[in-house]
Amino acid sequence: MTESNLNLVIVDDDEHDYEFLSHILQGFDFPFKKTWLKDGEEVIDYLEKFEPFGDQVPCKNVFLMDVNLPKVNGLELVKIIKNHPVAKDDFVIMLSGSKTKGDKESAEKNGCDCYLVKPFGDQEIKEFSKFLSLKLSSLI
Amino acid sequence: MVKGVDFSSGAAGELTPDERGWIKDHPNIRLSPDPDFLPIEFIDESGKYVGIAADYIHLLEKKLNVHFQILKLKNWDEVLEKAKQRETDMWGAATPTKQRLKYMLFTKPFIELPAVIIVRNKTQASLSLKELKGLKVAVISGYGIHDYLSLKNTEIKLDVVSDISTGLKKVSFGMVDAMIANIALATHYIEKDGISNLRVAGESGYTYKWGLASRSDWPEFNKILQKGIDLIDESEKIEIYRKWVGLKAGSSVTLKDIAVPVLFLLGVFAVIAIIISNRILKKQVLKRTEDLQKELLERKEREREHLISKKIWDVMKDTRSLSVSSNNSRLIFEKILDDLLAITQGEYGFIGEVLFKDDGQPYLKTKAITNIAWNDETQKLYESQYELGMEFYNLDTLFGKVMTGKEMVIANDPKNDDRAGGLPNGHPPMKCFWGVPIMMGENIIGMFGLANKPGGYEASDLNKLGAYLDSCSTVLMAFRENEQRIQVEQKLKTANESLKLSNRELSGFASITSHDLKTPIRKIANFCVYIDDDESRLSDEAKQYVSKISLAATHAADLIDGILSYSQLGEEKTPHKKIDLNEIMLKMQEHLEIEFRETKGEIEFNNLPSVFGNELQIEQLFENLISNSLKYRKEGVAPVIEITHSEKNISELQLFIKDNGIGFKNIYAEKIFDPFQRLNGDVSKMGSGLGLSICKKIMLAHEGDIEATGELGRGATFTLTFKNNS
Repeated sequence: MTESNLNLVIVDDDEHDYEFLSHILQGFDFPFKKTWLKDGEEVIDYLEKFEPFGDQVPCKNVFLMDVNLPKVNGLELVKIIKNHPVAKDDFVIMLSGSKTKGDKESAEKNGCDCYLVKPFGDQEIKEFSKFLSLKLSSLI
Repeated sequence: MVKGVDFSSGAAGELTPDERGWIKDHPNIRLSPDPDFLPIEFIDESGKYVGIAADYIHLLEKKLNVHFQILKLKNWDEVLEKAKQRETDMWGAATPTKQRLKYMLFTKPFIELPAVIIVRNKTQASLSLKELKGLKVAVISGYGIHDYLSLKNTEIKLDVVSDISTGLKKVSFGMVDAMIANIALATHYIEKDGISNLRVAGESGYTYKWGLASRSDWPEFNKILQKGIDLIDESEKIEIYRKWVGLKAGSSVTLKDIAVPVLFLLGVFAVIAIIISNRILKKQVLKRTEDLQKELLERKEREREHLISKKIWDVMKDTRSLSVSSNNSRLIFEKILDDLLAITQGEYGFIGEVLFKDDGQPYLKTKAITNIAWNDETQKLYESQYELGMEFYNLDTLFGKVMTGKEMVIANDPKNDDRAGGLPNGHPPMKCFWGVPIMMGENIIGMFGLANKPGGYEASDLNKLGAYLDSCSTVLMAFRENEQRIQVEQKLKTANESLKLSNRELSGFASITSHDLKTPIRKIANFCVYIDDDESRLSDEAKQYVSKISLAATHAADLIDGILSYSQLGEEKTPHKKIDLNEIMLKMQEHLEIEFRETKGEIEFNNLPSVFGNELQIEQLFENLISNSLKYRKEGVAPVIEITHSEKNISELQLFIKDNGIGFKNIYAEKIFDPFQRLNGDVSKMGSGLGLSICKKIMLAHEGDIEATGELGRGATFTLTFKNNS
């Protein structure tokens, strides 16, 4: 495996959903690192780690973020990330549990780069992992 | 951008007169260094403040002509604490964190030291992070480099040590392959501990940075410090670095290699900062000017409004025209009271409404009353209750008799009058009193009371008032009706709002429960997929059960989605717009691509018109109808959906969606739009049971309707009518 700077920051409080996503990511044929954060506060703390004077981010973070998060809602959190000096250029993929259409619009308005519905069942899992794999490898 | 740094402080080096004045006003600035942060800053054995930062501070003192009082504290924790308490004013070297930025401001970093890779002498000449892959490397816990390395995708085995000495010894003894630490710290301890077999092999890519920190309530000081730092020239910087950084023997990275690029960058940064600061200044001046002009405009606008309201009042006064609204009620009744007193030559008085308590007893609520306050207490009472009106319940008074008897009361000797209730201490003398009810038919709706007409009142005074009394009653009635109307409106509004709120709560509830329900169901379905993956272990029977579980989960999810979109319909307030139906159909072919492919289905349409509506809803409408037709296809027959239209007149449009599917008995034509109605028991075709109900709701929301006709085995036709499509 060659070295990679891609760090997937998974933000989801649901352990099972994190397991699912990890299962899907396992099948990808490019190297990446993975960080699991459970809520908005952890994301903010995580970004603080890069702080002191700002600019030394050691990896290319891509956020894979649930919409429905405790404490700070995902729709709010994407706004925080996109305004954060360290993370404002990071790619943010949001994952929603339901097909509610309004959420997608507000997510995109708040700066979300890619909005996906969590897959349901065999067919959707296949399509989802194909799409995600393509998307992520295009970001490397 | 570096937090806490303000670039708008003018050209480097030139302290403004204000800034010089500020320094003069603050002769005792307290600096508390970290007592033990070698070699950045520390207190040496003789109690002197030394280190890289200390050298900078001493230079600053000279250049800015200031003197800092060094506060020697026990440890860094105490330094932080004292700064929070404002018992110290600045730090020599620190990095900003979220916590610290709450009470300190930071200059741009002035000490920048690379984290370097330290190895034993024998190891390969030059190294970068890449070559450390698979090697064991010591780092100090809790420092930036630790986070940096664990986040960077390196396969370095990190050995986290508690302090620099331990790490260096581990390298020296061969217990780890290398250490990564800041160059000054490393070289200092290598010399101090006398470890001779180590050398610097290369940079890690990470740079430690420190700035000067000063208390956040002194923003001027932060600017002054930044200017001071900018005044320090490169030869002075190199001198400091030379003193504190550099390995004496065998170092392959020399001071020059590290210091020169760093200093060059600092120089470039300073130039850029000056350019930026000029631009920012210009922008600020522009912005300030704009703000001032805006304020001026607003002030003029206010003056104009004032003038207008005064004029309106003048007009009202002149014409005696009384327009009714709760806003001007006070003014109008004051006017009436003034008129009454003037006409009857009274000294003071009141006019008010007569209202009734629950037990039927009348009471008085003043609309206007002369201020006869005779002490602070009554003055306060007057002021606090004036707007709302004062309420009087005591009926054993002269004015009480007016209300109970609904008749005029004249008392020209109130002191000795049986009907009078007496006056409170301090009340201005009442020589005579005249109370008159204001009637509306049989009912008393108000009254006025006047006092101290020279010579006393007489019944004929009423004649002087004449028609004026009638207009009093009209005005009072008008106000009362107005108030009642406002009250009713208010009640209606409150009821409406609580209805809206509970509706929102209900749909919010539906949305939350749906979302929360969906998650476990999705997990059931997805775990089934993973069980099925594991083919070797499952019997055929078990596999069948798994597939049934999965099917049931899918159905449950469809139901939830249906409930969700049904409950959310009509919530959005997106304005209607023109929607080209041909485009919608193309979109549907894309959306339902899989369904079309699997069923070999086709959709036929030609030159469809546009409709006015909510785009999302119209999309959902057709998605539901088309997927419905695809789902209820006849076995062995490729579904064909035909979409046509007819325009009855300019505004009424009809659309027909005809399929060749299994159809339905016409007696169910209305029933199929009811929620959860299902004419077909096929498990594989179970959906949300809300698809057509949603279509109905959407059509009703578009001032239209949907109807269905069908014949069992011969397909169905759905007719959409847009009644007001223009």
